[in-house]
Amino acid sequence: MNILHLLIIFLSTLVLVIIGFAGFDSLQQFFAGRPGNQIYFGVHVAAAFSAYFCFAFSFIAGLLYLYQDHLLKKHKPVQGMSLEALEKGVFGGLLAGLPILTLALFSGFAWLKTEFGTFWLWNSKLISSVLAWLIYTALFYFHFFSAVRGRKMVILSVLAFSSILLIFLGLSFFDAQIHRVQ
Amino acid sequence: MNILNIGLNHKTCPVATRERFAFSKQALPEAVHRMKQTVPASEWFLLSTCNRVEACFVTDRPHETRKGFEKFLSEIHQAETGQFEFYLYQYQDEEAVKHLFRVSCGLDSLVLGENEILGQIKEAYQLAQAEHASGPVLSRLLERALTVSKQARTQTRINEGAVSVPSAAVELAEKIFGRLHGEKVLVLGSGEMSALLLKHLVSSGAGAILIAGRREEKAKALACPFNAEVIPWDAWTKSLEQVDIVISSTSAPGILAGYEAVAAIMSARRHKPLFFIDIAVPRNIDARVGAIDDVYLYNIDDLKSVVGENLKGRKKEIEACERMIFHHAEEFSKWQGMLDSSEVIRSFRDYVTQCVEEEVERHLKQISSEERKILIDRIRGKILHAPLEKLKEAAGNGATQRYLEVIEALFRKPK
Repeated sequence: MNILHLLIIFLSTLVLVIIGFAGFDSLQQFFAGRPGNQIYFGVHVAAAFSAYFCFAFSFIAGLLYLYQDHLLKKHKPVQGMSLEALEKGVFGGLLAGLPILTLALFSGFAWLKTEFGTFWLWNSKLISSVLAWLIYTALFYFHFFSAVRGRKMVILSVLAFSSILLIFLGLSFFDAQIHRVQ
Repeated sequence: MNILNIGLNHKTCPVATRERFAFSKQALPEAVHRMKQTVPASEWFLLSTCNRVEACFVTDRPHETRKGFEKFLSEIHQAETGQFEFYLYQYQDEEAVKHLFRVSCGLDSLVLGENEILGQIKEAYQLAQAEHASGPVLSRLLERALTVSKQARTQTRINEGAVSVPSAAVELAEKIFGRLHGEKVLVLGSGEMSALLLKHLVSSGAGAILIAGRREEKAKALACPFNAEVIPWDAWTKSLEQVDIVISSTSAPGILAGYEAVAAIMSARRHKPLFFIDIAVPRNIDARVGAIDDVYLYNIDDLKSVVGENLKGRKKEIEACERMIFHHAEEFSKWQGMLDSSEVIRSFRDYVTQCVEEEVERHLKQISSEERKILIDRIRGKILHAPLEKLKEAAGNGATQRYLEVIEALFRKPK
């Protein structure tokens, strides 16, 4: 096992832990009985969790793709899945995740309206979700309508997920700071 | 009872001798039949592949069995014993068992860890059964050899990674495109190596084939067996947009596909992966092409180094296989010890029964036959219990033979 293997395992674990925590936080709020429409909130939590799980799957497949690509380019012994299968994993995750994320966003907006009387709040999860939706829609368009594929597209999908993750973490920290001040 | 393994293989004798002593598939049943008649043994097994001819016997007279096998080879292949006897290797008992296990795992093969030997041993075993040549010992041994072989192939990497240039090319193609299912192949040039690579790719599932050659006649000759399409030499660059795999083996002195041309084609292909196999010397594909995204370029040296790395990987697994072989050989030897002891135990039991019966008959005439039977069983059980327990224990630590000899010497029934 080399440093690249360890890095991939570490990143994959980190991503799953973050998604797990975010999902757990939302579930806690759900069971705590937030005001507003419980159906909208329930659909929103379930859909958001499933969508990010799909994107995490796509992200992990993307890391493995880049690793296999590196080995093939450097003429090193290659084991495990083919580039084609991993690429299918990357875009399959995207294909499954995007409609679910759309559902999560719309049910989230509807719930916000019932609880706060507005469709929008400057909140870390909301900002990163809308950003994710925009980036993944662009990737979806390029891959499925313009038939662009290969290493650069995979790098873009990995970067998209990483940036969404960083924005989410950064804004969560920012939210926490504001709450502490308040 | 000894297990004897005698044979010649690629390590001990040159190919000219091996091909002379090899048996064709059709000739094998008759050979096994004649071996049974010529070689003094109680069980027989004959394995013949392109790299080895070896036989396994169960015998009480190893020396005579060896002589018999030499005579059998000499008669069936019409060769003087002096011409081949120095090529024959011989293993006995535990070493014979381990040798057969090594052969079945592919550790003794020309291509380390190859899978073909497993099927060859299976077929030879079936033949031995059909000819009533194998008995309880060889059947058990061969079944164990097949088990070790499967275990080595599933629990170690002894058979992983391609170990020839064409199979390495196919393996790499599969790492890019997944299991091949109709990928298009373009062949530049019509050398022998191209034909070989093409054959491997097609048999693995590659689809439509385009062939471009400066000499149309040669290109057509290559195309014929593969039902391939021959395209004009000046049209091949255009076809790069549709194909997935390019094999290049022309004798052109310079570069045929440069960096800029391939980079432009990759944009047109929307970065669908392209695999170049450049086996030409001098090389036909610009080495910088390998740096373009989604292009994978392997020249003949790269493929050879993949083969070398795979072989190194297989060699690393030898130790793990040897451990398995040692374990299974030990188990087999325990089983054999038990088998040897069963005969001695039976005669020991008969001897004790007879002694007790005689004494009971002589001194206890007044008791009923039912009571007599119970009495005999109980006395015999008491006498036999301790020595049989000791024997069982000895079988566990490999000391059975010593105990059997003592029992035989002390309790042999006087004639």
